[in-house]
Amino acid sequence: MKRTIIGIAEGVAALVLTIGAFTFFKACGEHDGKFMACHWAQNAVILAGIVLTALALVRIVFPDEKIKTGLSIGVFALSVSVIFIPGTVINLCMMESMACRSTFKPAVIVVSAVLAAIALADVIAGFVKAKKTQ
Amino acid sequence: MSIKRVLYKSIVGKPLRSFALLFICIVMSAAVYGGAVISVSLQNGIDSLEQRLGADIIVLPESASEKVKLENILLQGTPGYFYMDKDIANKLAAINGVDKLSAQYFLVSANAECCTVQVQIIGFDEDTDFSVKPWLREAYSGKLGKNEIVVGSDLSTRVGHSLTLYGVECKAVGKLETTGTGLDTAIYAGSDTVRGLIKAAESKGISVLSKQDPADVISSVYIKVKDGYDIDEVTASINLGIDGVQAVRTKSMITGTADKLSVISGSVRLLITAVWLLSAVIMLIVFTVLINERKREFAVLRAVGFSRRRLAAQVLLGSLVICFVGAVLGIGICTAVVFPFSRLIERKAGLPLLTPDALTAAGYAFAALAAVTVTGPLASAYSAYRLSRIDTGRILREGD
Amino acid sequence: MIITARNISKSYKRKGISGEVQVLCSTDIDLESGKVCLINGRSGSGKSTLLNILSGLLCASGGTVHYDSTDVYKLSDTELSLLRCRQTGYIPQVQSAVGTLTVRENILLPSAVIGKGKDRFAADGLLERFGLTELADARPGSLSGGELRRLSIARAFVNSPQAIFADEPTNDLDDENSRLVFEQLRKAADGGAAVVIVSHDRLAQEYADVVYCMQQGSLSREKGRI
Repeated sequence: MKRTIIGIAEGVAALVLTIGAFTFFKACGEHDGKFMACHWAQNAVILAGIVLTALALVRIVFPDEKIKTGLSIGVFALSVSVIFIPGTVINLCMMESMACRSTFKPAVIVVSAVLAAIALADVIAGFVKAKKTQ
Repeated sequence: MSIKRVLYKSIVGKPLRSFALLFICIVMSAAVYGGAVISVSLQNGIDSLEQRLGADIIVLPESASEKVKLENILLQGTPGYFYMDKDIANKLAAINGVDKLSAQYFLVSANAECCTVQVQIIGFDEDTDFSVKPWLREAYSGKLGKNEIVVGSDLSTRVGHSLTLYGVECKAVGKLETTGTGLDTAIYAGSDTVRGLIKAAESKGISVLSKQDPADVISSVYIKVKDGYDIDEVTASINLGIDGVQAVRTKSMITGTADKLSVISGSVRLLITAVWLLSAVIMLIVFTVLINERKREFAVLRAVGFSRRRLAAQVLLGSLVICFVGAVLGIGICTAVVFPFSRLIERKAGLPLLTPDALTAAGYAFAALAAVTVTGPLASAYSAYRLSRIDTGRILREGD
Repeated sequence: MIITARNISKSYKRKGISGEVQVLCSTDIDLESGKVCLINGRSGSGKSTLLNILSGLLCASGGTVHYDSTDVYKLSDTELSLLRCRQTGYIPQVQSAVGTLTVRENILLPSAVIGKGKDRFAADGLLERFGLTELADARPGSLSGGELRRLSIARAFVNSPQAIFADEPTNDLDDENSRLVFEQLRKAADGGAAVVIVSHDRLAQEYADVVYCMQQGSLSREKGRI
C-alpha cells in the first residue's frame, strides 16, 4: 500500500515535470523565428521527463518488488541529472529576469528534486521491504 | 517496546488526525516563515536601492514621464531612455552646495546576443562616477577600455567573458553586487564604447532606440551635496535655476515605493499574525475535542502505570513532534518556493526584492520553527492537563 | 506481598444529589501472597471502588493502604505509578486496549513504563497462554469482546506482578474462556501473587480461597480465613 502511493506520487511528479516544461513553467519562447539557447534546455528536460514518466509508469505496473526498486534507482539517477540541465549542462538566456531563469530553471530544479526524493524514498522502502521478507 | 514507540504509534496509528494537524502546521510555518522572508526581502530591496544610487539628488529632463521611466528602470529593470543637453552638467556644477556630480547616458539595445529582450545600457563617466564603481563585486584594474563593460549581477556573463552587442564583442571586466533592483540587469560602459555600439547598430541596420550622440547629450546626473548644505534647498535651487530639468531627491523618489512597501509589509505581518492565531485556535479546538476521544486510551495507560506527569508529557510531546515535523516541512516547502522563484515574485510584485543571505534566512527559519513548534504544546496544554487528571477507575468501569 | 487496608472510607459528590454519597465506610481487608480473594456483592455496592483503592488507582477519603510496610497513598504520584506498574497487575471491567498498538504491543505496555522495554518476543508466552498467538500483530479494533478481555488479562501478567486486581474479569466470556481466566489467576496465586477478584461469576467461587461480600459499603467474610 505504502509503495503503491509512493509509485503514484513518482508518476505524478514525472508527469508534472514533462507537461510543465512546455506549459506552465516553459522557457522563453521563439522570437523572429529564432530559438534562444534555453529552448534546447527545455527540449532536453521534456525528453528526460518523458523517459521518467515512462519509467514511473512501468514501475507502477510491474508487480515484482525488486524490479520496482531497480526502476526507482533509475528514476532517482535521471531526475538528479535533470537538475543540472538548465544552466549548467545547457546555457540559458543572459538575464535573471527572463522566463527561463526566473521560472523554468527553479521549477525544473524543484520538481526534479522532489521526484528524486520520492524515488529515493521508494528505493529505501524497497530495500527495507526486501530485508523484512528475507 | 518503549514509551517512545507508544508515542510514535499514537501519531502514525491515527493518520487522518495526524495529517490534519500536520497540514495546519505546514500552513502556519509557511505563512510565518514565507511572510517574514518576503517582508525582509522587500525591505532589503528598497534599502539596497537607496544605498546603491549613492546620490542625494538625481537630475532628469523636465517632463513628468521621465521620472516614471527612471523609476521603472530602477525598480523593475524596464529599459528606458531620455535625454537632455550635456551643458546642463556644467551648469549644475556651478550650483552652490553641489559636491560631486556624475552624468549617465541611457541607451536601450533592441536586441542582444541570444536574447530577444531589450537590455539597458548605461554609459557612465569613470572620472566622476560615484554610483557604479563602489558596487563592483569583481573589480577590474585600471580604467574601462574601449569595448569593455561592467555587467549587473543578474546577467549570466562572467568576468573575462565577452558579450556580443550589435556584432561588437564587449569584454566584461567587472560585475556588480546584487541589489534586487532593475540595476541588476543593466550593462555599464564608458562613453567611447557607447558611441561605438550606436555606430555598430546603425551599420547593421538595427534600430537603436536612440540616435543621439553621447558627445552631445546626457540622460541623468547624480549629485552628492556638500556637507552642511540642505539637500532640499539645493534641489530647489536647481529646479529654479536651470531650465528644462527636474531635480528629484533620491529619497523622495524611493519614498513612493517605500510607502507601497510598508503597506505590503504591514499586510504581510497582519497575515502572519492572523494565520498563526487561527492555526493556534484550530489546534486548541482539535486537542480539546480529542480529549473525549482519547479518554479511554489514557485510562488504559494510567491503569498500566503511567504517572500523571507521563500522561501529560505524552500529549505535549505528541503535539510537539507533529508541530516540529510540520514546521520543518512548511519551512522546506517555503524555501523551495521563495528563494528559487524570487525573480518571478519580484517581477509580479513590481518591487525590488533582495532575499536575505543564508545565515539571516536560517535565523528566520529557526524563529519560525520555534514559533510553530511551541504552538503545539501551548494549544494542547489544557488537553494534557485534563487527560492527566482523568478518573481512571470510573472510565474503566463505565467505559466512557 | 501483604496488602493491608484499614478503615477505608470513600465518599464523593454525585451530580443532582446534594451532599456526598458514602460508598465505603470503615472497611478493613488483608490480602496475602498465594491467596485468591473474591469480593462479590450487588452492583453499586462499592466493590470496584474498593478494588481501585486497593490497587492504588483511587485515593480513599479516609484510612490507609499498605503494600508490606509502604503506605501507598503517602507516595508521590510518580512513585505510586511506578510501584503499581512494577508490583501489581490491573484487569479493568470494560474492554480496554490502546487502539493504535498491536495486540502484542498492548501486552508489552506495562514493561515499557518501567523502562525495561521487553522485546516483541517476550509477549509470546502470554499470547500462547491466552490463545492470542494468531492475533499478535492485529489491532484491537479487529478483536472480539472475548479476545479483548483476554488481552487485558494477559497484559496484567506481563511484569510478573506480586498482586493482581481483577474487576469482573470474565464479564463477557463464555464458560470455557472464564475457566481459562480463573485458572490463570489461580496459577498466579499459586506462584506467589496476591489475587483479588471482583466478580458476580459463580465459577469464581471454585477458585477462591477467601470470599467477601460487599453490602452497602461494608465488607463481610463469607468463606475462608486469611
